[in-house]
Order: sequence, then C-alpha cells, then structure tokens
Amino acid sequence: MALRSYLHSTFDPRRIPGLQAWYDAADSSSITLDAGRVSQWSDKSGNARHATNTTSGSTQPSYTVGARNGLNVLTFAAASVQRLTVPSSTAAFNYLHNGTPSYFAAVSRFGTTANPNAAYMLCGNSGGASANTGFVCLYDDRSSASRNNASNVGISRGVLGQFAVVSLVNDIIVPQEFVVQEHLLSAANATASQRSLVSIDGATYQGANTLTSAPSAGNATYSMQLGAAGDNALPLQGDICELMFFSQLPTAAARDMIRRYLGAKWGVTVA
Amino acid sequence: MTTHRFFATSDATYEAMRAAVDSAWGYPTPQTLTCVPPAVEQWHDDEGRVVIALTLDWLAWEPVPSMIGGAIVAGVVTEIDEATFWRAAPMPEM
Repeated sequence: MALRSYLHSTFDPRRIPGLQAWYDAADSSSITLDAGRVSQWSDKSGNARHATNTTSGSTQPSYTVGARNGLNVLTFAAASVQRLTVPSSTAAFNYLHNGTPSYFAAVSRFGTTANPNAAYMLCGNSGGASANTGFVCLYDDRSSASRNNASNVGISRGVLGQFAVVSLVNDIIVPQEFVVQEHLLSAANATASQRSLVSIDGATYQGANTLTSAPSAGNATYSMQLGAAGDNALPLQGDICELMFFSQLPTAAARDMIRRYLGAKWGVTVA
Repeated sequence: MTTHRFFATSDATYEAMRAAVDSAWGYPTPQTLTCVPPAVEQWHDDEGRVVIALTLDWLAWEPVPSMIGGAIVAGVVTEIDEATFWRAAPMPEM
C-alpha cells in the first residue's frame, strides 16, 4: 500500500487528545450542498461544531471537486463574502484566545493571483479589532501595511489598541499554492515571542509577537467563522481543504503525525 | 473577467426585495433560510446603504434580474463599482 493511502486509512485525529473541531473537505459525507453550494461543513470531531451558512447562493462557498490531489475542497470568493459560521460558538473556541496552550492545523490556498495585495481570512471570531475579544488567522499581503505573503495571527483582549498577540511573519506563504500551516497559541506566555508560532509545510516555527498584555478570559465577540473574521471582515479568496483545532498542545510526535497526514493527503511536501 | 455586479440600496428596499425573492424561490427550507443575508448582517457604506456583490449566475435567476432592473429604473437601487463596494468593508485593525 502506498504511503499516502496508508496514512489516509490509519490516521485519525480523534485519537489525539484535545481535538475540538475537525473539518475535512475530502469527506463528502461531511458536506451538505444547497443548489451546488455548501450550506454545512460538518465537524468530524464528535463535538458537533458544524460550520453553516443557510443563506442561499452568493455567500455560500463552492464545493470544488477534485481540486487538489484528486480531493474536493471548499472554494471561497471574497467579493461575495463567502463564509461559514459555527452558530452560537462565542464560548466554544476560547482556548484560542484565553491563554490556553493550543494548536490548530490547516491546509489551504490563498489568492488567485501572484500578488494579491490583500488580506484573506482563514478563520476568526474577533473581527480583527482590538476592542473585541477573540482570535483571527489570516494571509496578509497588503503592501500599504508593509505586509508581504505573511501569516498574521491576532488575539484580541477586549481593550482598544491593546492586542494580546499580533504575530506577523512576512514572506512565509506563497499565494496560489496549497500549504500546510500549523499554529501554536499560548496567549499568556511570559515570553512574548512564544505566544504565537507558525510553521508552514513543516518548516521551523516562527513567531513575531512582541506584545505582553494579558489575554481575556471572556468569550469571543463573534461566533467562529471559516473564511472570514467573525463579522464577515477580510473574506477569503481561496480554498480550505482541512482544518483541525486542539484545546491543548499535542506532543511533538503527534504534531509530526498530523503534519505528515495532511501533507500526504493533500499532496503538499512537508519537512 | 467580470464575475460580479455590485449594488447599493436602503435597508428597507433590500429587505423588501429579499422577502420577494424568498417567496418566489420557496424559502425558507430546512437547508436554506433565505436568499441573501438580512440587511443587518450586510456591509453598509458611509451613506448607510447596504452594499452587496451578486454573482452573474445569481443575477440571471428570475425574479432577480427583472426586480433589480426595475428597482434601478425607479431609483431605489444603485449599481456601484467594485471599489465602492470594498470601501464599505469592515475595517479591522489587523
């Protein structure tokens, strides 16, 4: 059996402690279509944190068959502000912003041009505003803000002008290419640079946060969105293949397993 | 390549048109509650108008084209350009 098939058939993220939500576009049984567009992306973790959009048509992402490695993906169009929302989830993802050491991994593709000069949200529940509470994770290529092919993670603590974390790492994501990204979050870490770390395709983790304010223990301002920031801000132009959230930090060996599973499955070379 | 057209209107007009399209298409159903998001969830420009981007295929499904065409003629819906649409986007600090 080929390694790729073997990894597909044997790896199950539910065996790794702390899995809170798992979205897998390759599993068509987890997708509900509404006139050809996605109205629900079901959570496979067992926690029923399904991401939905029950508004017909323009704001629902597309389900693109065989788009990557023969597997189906969700395709989001920014101009239509296409997104999915986990309903009533303002308390469900607190581990991402309240200082709990946590982890999430995703396979996605950002942009449809070589130089998007835009910001595209992978997921978030804060709207990206400091006065709100929550988290955002985005691809950021806005030249006006000196950002170029960056991974940008922000954790808001409900205080205007005082984020708990802003970790902007430039020149790390190639637009139009599928990437495996992993994030380690620890918003209360006394070492600022360790509050948010990102690895792309298994490369060494990098962090750029310098902020030291304490995170909020409260709920997020908005429910979690995939493809937008919670309030529809910075909508995604691109694809999401798979996304998994953990409310604790998996061991290095477990993260290695997750990375190899995602890379093999989606045809992304990982270190 | 043109994929969308962009429009601006008042909340009241938007909600009236949303209700009309929902009625024509038989919404709500178990999978689909409405044809477009309620006005309160949509972006608004600095004149307080709802702005919306509609795909060309969506614009081809009746009663949308005849309804929007009539609304534009009546002056209650304005077609805007893409830049105007994006200026209404929420402005996060991130």
